[in-house]
Amino acid sequence: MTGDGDAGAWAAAPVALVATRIRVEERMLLDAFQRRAVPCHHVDDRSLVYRVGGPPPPWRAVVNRALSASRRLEVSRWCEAVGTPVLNTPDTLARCDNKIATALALHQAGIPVPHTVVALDPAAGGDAAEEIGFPAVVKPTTGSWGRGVARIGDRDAAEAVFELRGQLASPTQRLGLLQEFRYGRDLRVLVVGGSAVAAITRESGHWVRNTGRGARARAYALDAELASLAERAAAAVGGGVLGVDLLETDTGERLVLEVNGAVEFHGLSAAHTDAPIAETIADHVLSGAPG
Amino acid sequence: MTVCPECQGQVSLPDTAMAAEIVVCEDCSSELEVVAVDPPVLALAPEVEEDWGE
Repeated sequence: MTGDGDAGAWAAAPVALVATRIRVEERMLLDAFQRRAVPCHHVDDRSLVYRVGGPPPPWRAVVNRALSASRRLEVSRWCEAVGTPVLNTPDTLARCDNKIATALALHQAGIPVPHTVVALDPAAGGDAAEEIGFPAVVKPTTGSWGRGVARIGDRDAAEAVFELRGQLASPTQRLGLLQEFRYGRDLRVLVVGGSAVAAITRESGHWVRNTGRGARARAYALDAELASLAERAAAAVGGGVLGVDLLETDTGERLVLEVNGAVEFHGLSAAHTDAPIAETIADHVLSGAPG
Repeated sequence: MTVCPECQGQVSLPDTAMAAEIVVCEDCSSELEVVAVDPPVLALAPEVEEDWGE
C-alpha cells in the first residue's frame, strides 16, 4: 500500500486533495484532516504534470475530486499506476462516469435498475424509444447535475432529441441512453468504504431533482433494506466513496438510477447536521484502504 | 481588496479565501476564480465544461 514499505514515512506524508474548485465539500474535507492533525494539501488538477515512469507523488493518499471526468480518471489512473492509494479508483470512476457502464455493472450484479436501452447512433433513437416505451428519459452517457436529460412522450419527441444529439461535436454525446420514466421518491445514499452512511430525499417541483438545480434535500431514514441495496450498488461499480441515486416508486419498488464517483455531499450534510460526513470520509482515507 | 477582471470593480476576499475558490463580483455578478491569495489574483471562472460533474 505504501509503495516503498516505509510505514513511518508514509504516515507522515501529507494527503493530497486533488480538486478543481474549493467547494463546501472540499472545505469540509480539509477541515476534517486538519482536526486529525494530518496535513492535507490542495492540489489543482489543472496544474498536474507527471512523467510516465517517474516517481510517485509525495502523498500518502489522494482524495480525487477533480471536476472533469476525463481529468479525474487520469489522476486516479496515474495514482494507481505508481502505487499511491487513491479515492476513488480508476475502475470505479470508469464505471460511474459512463452511464452505460454503470447500468451494465448494476444489472450484472443483480441490482434492480429501470428498463434501459442504448442507441449507439442518433439515427436509431426513435427505434430505441419505441423499444423502451413512453414516457422515457433520454440521458447523456456522461455528465452530471441533470444537464442534457430530456423526458419524451412519443417517438416524434425522441427523434427531435436525437436529431439535436446527432449535431453535437462529441462522439460520446451522440450515444443515446434511454430509461423508462417512473414516478416516485428520489433518494440518495452515501456509501463510504462499503457501508451506507446516510440518506436524503430530494424534492423539487421539476422532475429533474438535483440539489445543483435547486432541489431541497431532506433527511431520509436509512432502513436496512435501503442500506443493503446501496451497498450492493456501490460494490457493483467497484466501491469507494459513492453517492447512490435511487428511485422509490409509488409501489415501494426501489431502483438504482446511477452511482456518483465524485460525490457532492453538501445537501446530505445540511440534512444530517449530526452526521460527520467529512470525518467519516477522512477516517476512511486514513485507514489505508481508500479504494 | 482586488480588482474584478471583468468590470474593474473592487472585490473583497474573505481572510479564509483559498486558491480555486469561487467568489462573485458584487458589481457585475461575474463568477471569479481565486487564482492566488497573496497577493490576491482573480480570473473569470471557467464555464462548466461538458464532462464536469459528480
